Amino acid sequence: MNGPTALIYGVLIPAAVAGIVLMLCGRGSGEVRPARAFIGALAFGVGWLIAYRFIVGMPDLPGSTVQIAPHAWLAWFVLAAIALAPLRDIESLRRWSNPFYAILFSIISFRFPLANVLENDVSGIAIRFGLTLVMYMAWNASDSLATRVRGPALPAAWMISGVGVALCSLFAHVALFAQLAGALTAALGAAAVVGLIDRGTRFADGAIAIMWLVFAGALINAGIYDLSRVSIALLVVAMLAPWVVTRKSFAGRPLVAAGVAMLAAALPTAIAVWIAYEPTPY
Amino acid sequence: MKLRSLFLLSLVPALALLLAAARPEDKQAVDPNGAYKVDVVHSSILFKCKHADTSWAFGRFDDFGGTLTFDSAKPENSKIEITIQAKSVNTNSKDRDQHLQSPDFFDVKQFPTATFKSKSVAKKGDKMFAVTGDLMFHGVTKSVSIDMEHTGSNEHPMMGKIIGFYGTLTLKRSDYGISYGQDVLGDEVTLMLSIESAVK
Repeated sequence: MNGPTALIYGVLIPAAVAGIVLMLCGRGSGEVRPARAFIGALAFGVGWLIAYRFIVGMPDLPGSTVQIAPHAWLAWFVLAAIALAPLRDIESLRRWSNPFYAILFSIISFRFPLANVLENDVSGIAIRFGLTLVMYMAWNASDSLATRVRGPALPAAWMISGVGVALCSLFAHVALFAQLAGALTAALGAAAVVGLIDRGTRFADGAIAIMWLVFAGALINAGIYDLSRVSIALLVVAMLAPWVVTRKSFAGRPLVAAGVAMLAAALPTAIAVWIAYEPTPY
Repeated sequence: MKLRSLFLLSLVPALALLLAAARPEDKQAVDPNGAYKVDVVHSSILFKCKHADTSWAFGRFDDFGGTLTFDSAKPENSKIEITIQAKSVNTNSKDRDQHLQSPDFFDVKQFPTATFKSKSVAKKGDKMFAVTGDLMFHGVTKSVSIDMEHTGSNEHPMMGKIIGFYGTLTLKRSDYGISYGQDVLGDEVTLMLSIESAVK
C-alpha cells in the first residue's frame, strides 16, 4: 500500500467505522442503558479487520500445509472477541464469559507467538503463565476503569498509549504490527471524539478486550525481536495510568479528567518511545 | 649450489605435468552418480525482487545445508533436500536484513527454516532435470517445480568427487503469507540456486 492508501485503510476506515457505530448505537450508553459490549466490539473489531484485510490480506486458515503467522492468529482472535462480546451483555452470562477471555489471552501466551520462541521448560511455562495473568488482570482492570470513568478520558488516554505501541513496534522493525496497532489507535481516537460529544458515554468493554488483544499482540511480537522489556512495561503502565482520574475530584469534569488521563498516559509512553527510538530507517 | 638449483628447476615441469593431469577436461569420465552433501562454501542461494518497480534488489542466504543423491541412469531415483536458515538472509544492509527477519517478512523466530524436499526428478534434456518437490517457507508448504541444470562433475584433489547443479524458481511471496510492502517490494521473487555438493 502506498501512503494515501495506507492512511485510508489503516487510519480513516477503522476510525470511521468506530465513530459511526458508536455514534449511532453507543451514545448515551452510560446514562440510559448499560454499555453494550457487542456494540463496542463491533465498533473496534470490524474496522480493525477491514484494516487488516487491506494491510495484510485475508488471514490464512491453519491447515496441514499452512502454519499461520502470528498476525493472522491476531485477526482470528479479534473475530473471536467480537463473537464473545454478546455474552458480556447478558447479565447472567457475563461472569461466565471471563474464562473464555482468559483462554484467548492464554493462547496468545502459550501458542502464539511464543510457542517457537520460549522453551517448554519450567521458566518458559512460568513466563507464559505470568503473561497470561498480566493480560487478564490488565483487561479486568481496564474493564473496571470503564465502569468508573466516562466521557473522552479513557479512549483519549488509550489513544496516546496506542501511538506509543505503534511507534515502539515500528522502531523494533515490526512495521506490520505497528500499522495494526495504529489502526486500533485510530478507532480509539474516534471513540474519544464520541466521548467529547456525549460526555456521559461509558467505554464498552467489548472494545477493551479487542484493544488488549491487538496491543498485546503487537508488544509481544515486538518484544520477541528488538523492543526492550522496559518499553513494554512502561506502555502497560501507560494503559493503566487513567486510574488517576477515578478520584472523586474528577467526577463531573470530563474534560479535565481527559486532559489529566492523557498526561498520565503520555509520560510513560514518551519514555517507552524514547527508549525504543531507532533513528536509522534503511 | 648449481646442482641444487638445477634440481629445483627440474621440479617445475614435473609439477606442471602433475597439474596438467588434474585439468578439468580430463575429468569428463567422472561418474556423477552417488550420494552427496551440499558444500555451502561453493554453493549459493540468491534471490532477487523488484524494488519500487524500478530495479532488481538482490540478496542471499549465507547458512544452508542439504543432501543430494544423483542417478543419471534412473533420474527418478535422484533426490535433493535443502534446508535454509532464514536468519542468514544477507542483502548487504544490516537494517534491511533485520527488517527482512521481522514478522513483516520472514518472521525468523516463528519460522526459522525454509526447506525444499524433492518428490520426483525427471530428465528434461541433455543436462536438464525437472525437480518437483515441496517448498516450505514461512510456514506454508507448496509443491513447486525447478528446472535444474547439471553444470558439471569433477574429481577434486581435496574434496573428492563433486557435482554441480543450477536452477531458478520464481514464486509469489504472497502465496507464502508474506504480503507486506508490495508497493515497494514486488510480489514475485526469483530464487537462484547454484549447488555444489561433495560426495559423502
